[in-house]
Amino acid sequence: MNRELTRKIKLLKGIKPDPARATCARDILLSQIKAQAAETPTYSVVKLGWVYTQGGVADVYRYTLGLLFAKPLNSAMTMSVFLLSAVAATLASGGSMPGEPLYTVKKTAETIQVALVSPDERATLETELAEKRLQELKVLTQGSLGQAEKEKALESIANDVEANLETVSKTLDTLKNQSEAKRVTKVATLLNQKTSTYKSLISQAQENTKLPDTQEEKLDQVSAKINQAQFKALELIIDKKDSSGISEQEVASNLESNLRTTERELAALSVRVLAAGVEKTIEPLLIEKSDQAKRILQEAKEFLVRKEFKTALEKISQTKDILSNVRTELKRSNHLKDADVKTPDSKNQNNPKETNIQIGF
Amino acid sequence: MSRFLNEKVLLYKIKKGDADAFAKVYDIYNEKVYRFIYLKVSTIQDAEDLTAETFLKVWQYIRDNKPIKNLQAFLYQVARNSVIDLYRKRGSNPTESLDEHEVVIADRVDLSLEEKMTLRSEMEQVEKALRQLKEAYREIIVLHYLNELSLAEVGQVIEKSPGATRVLLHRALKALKEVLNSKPKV
Repeated sequence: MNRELTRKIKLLKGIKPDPARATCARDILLSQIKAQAAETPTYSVVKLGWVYTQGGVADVYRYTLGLLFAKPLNSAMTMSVFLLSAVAATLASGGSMPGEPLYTVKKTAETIQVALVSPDERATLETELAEKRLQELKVLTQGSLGQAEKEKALESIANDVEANLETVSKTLDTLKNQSEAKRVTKVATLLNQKTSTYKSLISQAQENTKLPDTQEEKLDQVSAKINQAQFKALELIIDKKDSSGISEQEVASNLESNLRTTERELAALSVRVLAAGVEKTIEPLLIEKSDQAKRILQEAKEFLVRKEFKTALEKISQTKDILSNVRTELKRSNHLKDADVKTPDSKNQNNPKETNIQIGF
Repeated sequence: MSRFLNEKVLLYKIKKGDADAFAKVYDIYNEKVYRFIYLKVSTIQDAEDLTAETFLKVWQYIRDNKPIKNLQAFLYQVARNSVIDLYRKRGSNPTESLDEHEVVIADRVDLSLEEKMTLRSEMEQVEKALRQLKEAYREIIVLHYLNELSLAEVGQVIEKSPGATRVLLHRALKALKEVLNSKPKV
């Protein structure tokens, strides 16, 4: 009865402030509060930790005992029981997966952990968390969750990984601006090392199950973000080489691992291009692009040997761009192929009467 | 991070004078507070002014170290009080609509021009009907259906129990339906 009515009411969600005026109002408001705002707010780690703990405990309550107790907790005894349950729930949540009740508890505990450490440690923690999320992704694609739940969980994981990488990237920028060469190199090196793990986990997830296009695109987006983060990390390692005390051998080693990963991706993609059976007009173009990528990667190797690290990195980056184009073209031509394959079969399936008449004649 | 935890952290940071944290609060709630106020006042200008005033008051309140249990509920309460103050000063009827909002449906690229016109007309009809309701009914409909607060959260804003809120919502929907059904369709 009320469905049509609520549909009409929700039309009014279109009432929004004028974007330009809202931005202007925002700027004015922020300039008004600036006089009272602290230039560099300082937080007590203990107090901030307590804030996170309070919020986290409230979340644990909401998703566990809150479902059992309808009324607010009053007595100290009940609160103690609840707090103990919260600790137990946090410990038990360690292996939980997206969609499970204790997953929120797990994420809250991680958020608290991140908030309580220094910026460098935060960046390190975020790289670990990104890996954790991708491990969950791999398990998710092996599991038997429903399609809608899987899609929701994948979206959530992908967003988390992007957020983790964004934080690491911002930390790198901050450290770079503070001229903290050793610290930025340490974080950048760790990030570079992790990216091959990230990519491997995404590949495994994609191999475990055939994902719908939207989810594939989301994972491609995450892969692109990983590539960007890795490029930034390598750029910084090369840039800060002299001031950070990192040896040329270490720089070369970082670049080499990136080069090898790119080589493997190129080899796998070349095989896919040949095996895909794409249209005759497109196949030569894709093969030519793959060959071009091989040539540029070879140049990267030569620059690496000559210790021209910046140029080597640029060449690797060019190779990755070409691989990305080839992948996109391959997907597009696979879609066209699938569409062509469907048409003759569906015609027969949809018109059984027509078939009978033909047989009759 | 849950909304509750996010709010707690932002509140703490704002208390410490973190303008960025306040900007985040603004970004999260600006549109909703604006919509809430707009459907109480008669002009876009008033809605914009009162929205800005609401956020400024909230900033000041937090900086004065006054306790806030629920930031979202507090924002709406301040918005509500700001509207009441405005009309006390002016002494005019808040339900009289003098301004028509240029409803933002430009981003609906999936609709044809004709569909957009129909949509706009429907929205205007609902808005006019909503403005004819009494304040309490209008408020609860806006908070629950447009700003997507749960009944418990609405209850915190209007300071009623969840049960009373549910009853009020039911009455509000009934009243709105009567107004809409009594309007001649264009």
